[in-house]
Amino acid sequence: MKSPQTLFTALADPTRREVFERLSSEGPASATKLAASLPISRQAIQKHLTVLDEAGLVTRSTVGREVNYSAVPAALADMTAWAARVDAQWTDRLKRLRRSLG
Amino acid sequence: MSATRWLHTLALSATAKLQIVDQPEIERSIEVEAGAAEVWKQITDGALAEEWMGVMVEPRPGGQVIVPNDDVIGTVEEVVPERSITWSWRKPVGEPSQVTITIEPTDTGSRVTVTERLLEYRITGSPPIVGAA
Repeated sequence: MKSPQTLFTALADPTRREVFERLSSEGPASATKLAASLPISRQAIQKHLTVLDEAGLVTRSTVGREVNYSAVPAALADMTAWAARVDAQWTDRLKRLRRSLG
Repeated sequence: MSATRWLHTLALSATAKLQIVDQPEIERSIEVEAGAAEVWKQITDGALAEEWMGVMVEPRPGGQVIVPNDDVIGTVEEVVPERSITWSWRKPVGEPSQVTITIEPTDTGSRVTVTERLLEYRITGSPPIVGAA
């Protein structure tokens, strides 16, 4: 299981978010294919894909000489779980604070 | 709803705000009918704080954040009396994070806002955190 921090760091970059969202909505693609529709170089895309891969947000599969990347949306579950848990904790604490002040 | 969309929903929701910025953070606030001094006392008086927050925080830079079984789980970083307090902690099961509580006066009392953000670095100035023993 990846830490929420790893995921947050991976998605903190807007280009990486864009790449991840494209793969989520348009299906698997290679770095070359992604570079054709984004205003950055294939090399830069490749670097972003590596970070996303390390964070568990994409998986790689080799088709002939091409490496295709697929999004793993379920990877976000850890991150959203962190956010939901922390948010719920503070919601409860602040309710108790209000009661203490009442 | 896809996980990606859920992420955006969280990012845009006013009540459960998840910001993916330099540091990811959650923000919560409430309005209370109490002055800043009263709210501050709730945060800084150990017995009162333990009651609603589950931890005691020593209100001075370098002060300890302590859970009821006396484990130190964090360190206070910044204190502006009756205005704000910031500490970093690592809960027994959880990522290191930083909490800031701010108190703002309103017409009817105070607004208390909490932000908690994930940290990339380990908390310094506190002993290693042993899990829930």
